Amino acid sequence: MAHVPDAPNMKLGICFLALIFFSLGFAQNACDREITGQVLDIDTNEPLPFATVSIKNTQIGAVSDESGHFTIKNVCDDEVDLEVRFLGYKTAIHHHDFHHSSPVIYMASDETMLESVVVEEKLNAHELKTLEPKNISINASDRSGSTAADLLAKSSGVSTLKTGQNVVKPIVHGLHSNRVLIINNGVRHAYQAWGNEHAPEIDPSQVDRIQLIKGASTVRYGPNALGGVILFDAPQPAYNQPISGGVGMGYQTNGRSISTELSVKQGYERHAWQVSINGTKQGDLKAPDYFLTNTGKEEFGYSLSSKHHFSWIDVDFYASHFQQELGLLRGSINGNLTDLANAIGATVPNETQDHFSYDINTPRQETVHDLFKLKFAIFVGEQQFDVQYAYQRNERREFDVRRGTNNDRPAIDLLLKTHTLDVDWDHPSRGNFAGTFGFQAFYQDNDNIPGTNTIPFVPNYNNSSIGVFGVESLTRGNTTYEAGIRYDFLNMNVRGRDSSNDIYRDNRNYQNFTFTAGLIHQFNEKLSIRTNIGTAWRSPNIGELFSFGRHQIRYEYGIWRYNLPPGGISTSSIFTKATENEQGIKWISTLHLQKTTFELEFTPYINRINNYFFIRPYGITNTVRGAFPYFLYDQTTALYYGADLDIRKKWNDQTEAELKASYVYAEDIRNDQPFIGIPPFNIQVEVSRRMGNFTFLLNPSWTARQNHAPPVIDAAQFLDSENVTFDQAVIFDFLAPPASFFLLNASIQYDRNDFIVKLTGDNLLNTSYRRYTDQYRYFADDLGTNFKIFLSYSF
Amino acid sequence: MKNLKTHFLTGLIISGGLLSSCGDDDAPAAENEEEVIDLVTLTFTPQGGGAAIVATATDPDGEGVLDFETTDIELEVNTTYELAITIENTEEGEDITGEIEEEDDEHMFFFSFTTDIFSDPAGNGNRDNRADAVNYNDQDGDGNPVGLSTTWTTSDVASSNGDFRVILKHQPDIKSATSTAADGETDIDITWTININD
Repeated sequence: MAHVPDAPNMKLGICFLALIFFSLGFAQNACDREITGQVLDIDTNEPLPFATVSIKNTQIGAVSDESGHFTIKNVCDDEVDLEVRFLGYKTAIHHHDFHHSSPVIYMASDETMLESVVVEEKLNAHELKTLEPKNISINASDRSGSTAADLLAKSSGVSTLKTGQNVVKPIVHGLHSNRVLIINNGVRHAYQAWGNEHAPEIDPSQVDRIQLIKGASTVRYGPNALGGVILFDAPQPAYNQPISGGVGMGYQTNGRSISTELSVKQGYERHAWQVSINGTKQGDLKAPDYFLTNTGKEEFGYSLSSKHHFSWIDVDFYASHFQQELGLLRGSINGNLTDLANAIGATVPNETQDHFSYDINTPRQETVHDLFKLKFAIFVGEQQFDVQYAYQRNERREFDVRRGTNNDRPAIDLLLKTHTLDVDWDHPSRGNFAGTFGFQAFYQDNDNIPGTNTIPFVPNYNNSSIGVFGVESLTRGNTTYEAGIRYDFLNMNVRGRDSSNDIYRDNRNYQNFTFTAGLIHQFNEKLSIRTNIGTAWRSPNIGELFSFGRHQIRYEYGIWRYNLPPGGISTSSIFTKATENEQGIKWISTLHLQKTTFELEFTPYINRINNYFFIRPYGITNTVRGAFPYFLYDQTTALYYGADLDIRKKWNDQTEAELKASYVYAEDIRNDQPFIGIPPFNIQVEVSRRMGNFTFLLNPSWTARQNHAPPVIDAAQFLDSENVTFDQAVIFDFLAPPASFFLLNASIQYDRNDFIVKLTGDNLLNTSYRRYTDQYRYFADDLGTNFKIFLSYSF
Repeated sequence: MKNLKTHFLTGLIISGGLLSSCGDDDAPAAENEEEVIDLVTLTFTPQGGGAAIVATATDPDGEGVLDFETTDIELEVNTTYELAITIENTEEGEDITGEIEEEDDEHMFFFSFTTDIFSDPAGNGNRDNRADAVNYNDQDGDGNPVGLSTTWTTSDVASSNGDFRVILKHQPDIKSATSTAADGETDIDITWTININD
C-alpha cells in the first residue's frame, strides 16, 4: 500500500462535521412528541401484546400490538411517568424523559420473585436497520459450563470451529476468526484472532443476550465484519430495583464439571449496580468409546457494572475479568506425517488414559482477558452523543509438549493491550430522515513476553486505526431506505525475529472505503422483506504475513516469509511484498412472514471476497522429523453463498416448535476448488411443551456430510512413495470429511417462583460422530452422552 | 454550537495525535532456540580398532523449506561397529544428547534398514515390529533400551544405496517394554544412504 495522502481524510472530516451541524438546533414543537417502546416478558423475552401503557395522571395511553410495540402520540411534557399494566404481571412504573431512546419494558409475572424492569437505552444502539440483528436470549441453565460460541450455535447460519471441546470459535455463514467481528459489551473484542485454535475469551457466564448480524456491517462496526457481527451482552443493572440476586449451580456428567455463578444487583432512582462472580472446573471429557485425555478446563470470572442517570448525561461503567486454563487433547500432538498417519488410523486416540482425571497437562492454553469500559451518553438539545472508551488486556500462553524443563515454559506467550474510543451521534429525525454518524479509533500493542525458549511465532506489533462513518435512512410509506459509508485508516508497525534471531521491522498503512445500502419493505401486515448490500474489508493478519515453519501438522509460510523467483522457492529472509486488502461484498435478504401462530424467516445470501487469504500446498520439505508437505499463504477470490431458514409454529400457549436449517456453499473461484472446513448442511427441530410447572423440550438435529470438499492425499501416501506429487494450485486434505450424523438432545425444566431445576441430556443416543469443522476430527470422536443438572435460585 | 464544534475538532486532533505518538519500537527479546535440532551425527567405531566412520545430517535453514542434508554411511563388510548417536543444536551450541540421557525414560531410538545388510541384527530393524532384533547397549532406569549406543555387524555381502533410518521417539509416560515406534511424538526421523563396501 502506498502512503496515504491526507486529502481524502480531511475532506471526509469536513463533510462529517457539516452533516453534524446540519441538524443541530432543530427542535420539536410542544404536544407533538411521541413515545414508542416495546413490552416483553422478562422470562421468555417474548413480546406481550395488549399490555396497557399509560401516562400517569392523564388519559393518554396506548396498547401494545402483536410484537409488543406501542406508540403514544400527542405527548406535551418533556418528562412523564409511564405505567405499564398487564393482567397476571407486576405493574411497572417508569420515569421517561425525551433524552432517552425508546424504553423496553420487561414485565415479570406475578408468580416470580423478579420485578418488572425497564431498559431505556438499546444496548447496542445505532444498528443498521436493513441488517436487523437476530436476538438470542441466553438462560443461566444454557450458559453453565458452556462456551460463548456454543451458546450461539443454536442459531441458524452459525456453526462452530472447534479445536477439541474447549476451544470453540463461532462460524457465521462459513466465515470465522478475522472475518467475523465480535463485540463484547459494546467493545470490539481484541484477541489473537489470527489462530484457528485461539477462541475469543468471552465468559459464557457473563452472556445474557447475543445479537447476531449476518450481513457485512463493516460500515457500522469496523473492519473484519466480512461474515457478520456477533454482539455479546452481559446482564445489565436496572434502576428502581430493590437489592436482588441469583445463584446458580450446574453439574455435568461428561467431564464431571461443576459450574457456579452468583450475581447481586440493586437499582436506585438514578443509580444502579451489579456484581457477579463465576467459576467452572471440568475434567477429562468422554467420547462414546473412550476418554478424551487432557480435555479438562478451569475458568474463573467476575464483573462489576454500574450505571448513573442525570438529566443531560448517562454514565455506564463495566469491568470484567475472565481467566481460563484449557486442556487440549493429548492425542492431537503429532511429530510428523508418520505420527499423523498413526493418529488418523488409531481407533482410540494415542495416549488415551483409561481413567478420568481433572489434571490439565500439556498441551494446554492459559488466557486472561480484562475489560474496562466507560460510556457516556450525552444529551444536547435533541441530540444524543455516545462516547465510549475501553481498555482490554489479553494474555495468551500456550504450552506444548516439549523436552524437559521447557514443558513448564509457554511456547507462545503474548500480551495484547488495546485501547478503543467510539463516538456515535444520532441526529434527530428530520422529516423522514434518521441517521447515525460515528468515529472509532483504536490503538493496539502486541508484545511477546520473553522466556519461551523459542523464536517468537508472531512478531511484536502496534496497530493504530481510525474510522469514520455515517448511515442515513429514509422512510417513505411502507419502505425504509438506508445507505452508509465508512473510511478506515490503519497503521501497522511490526518488529520480529527471523529464523537466525535477527531483527526485522516493517511499517505499513492500509486504508479502505466501505459502503452499505439496503431497504425494508412491508408488503402487508404479515409479509416483509429486508435486503442489504454491504462491503467489508480487513488488512492481512499477523499470521497470514509472518507464519514461519511448523504449525501443528504442517509447515506454513506467511506471505512475507517466502519468495518465488524462477530458480525455486526461497524462505531465507523477509520479503515485504505488496498485499491487497481482503475485500468482501455481501448481499443478504430476509423474507419474513409473521402470522398469529406461524412465523417464517428465509435468509439467502451471497458473499464474494476478493484477495481472500488462504493457504495452498506447495512442496515437500525433509526436516529432522521426516518429510512434511509445506503450505504457502496466498490470495484468491472466494465466493460464499447459501441460505438460512427459520420456521416457528405455535399450537397453543403450551406447545410450540421451531425448525432451523442452514446451508452454505463456498468455492475458490479463481482456481475452481472447494475450501477445507466449510460447515455442511444442518437442520434441527426444537419442540417444547409446558405442563404446569414443567417444560419439556426435545431437540433432534441432523448434520450432513460435506460433499463439496477438497481431494484427499492421506498421510500414508506421503510416506509410502518417495515422490508424491500434487498440484501446487490444488488444496488437499489429509482426511475425507466425516459422515453425516444425527443427534438427540432433550431437557426437562421445573420452575416455581424463584427456583429452577433443569435436567438436560445431550447426545442421548450416545452417537459416535465427528464434526467437519472440528480440527481434532483427525484424532478423536466428539462427545458422548452428557447429562446436565442445573439449579438456580433468585432472591 | 460554535463551542461544540471546537470541542469536536479538538477531540479529533487529540485522538489522532495520541494514535500516532504512542507507538513503541521494541523488538521481541532474542530467545534461545532450545527446541531445534540442526545436527545429528552417527559415529560408527569399528571393534578391534580402526578409524571411526562418521555420517551427519544437517539443517541448512532451520524451519525454512530447504531439505535436511545427509552424508552417506560407508561401512566395511563383515565388521562389527559400535554406533554412537549425538544430537546438537549448533545455533545455540547446545548438546541435546545429554538431555536425552537425562530423560532416557521418555526417549527411545528405533531403527529400520534395508533387509539383511547387517548379519547382526538380521532383518530390517524394529520400526515395524518392536520385538525385532536391534542390539542396544544402553538402558533406562526401568531396564528399557534407549539407543544412544548400539552395536552393528555388517553382512559379508557388499551392497550400495541401502537405507538406514533412525527414529527418535519422545514417549513421556508411554515408554515401556512394548511401546513401539508408532507411540509418542517423533523428535527425529532421518534416513541415510548406506553403502557396505568390500
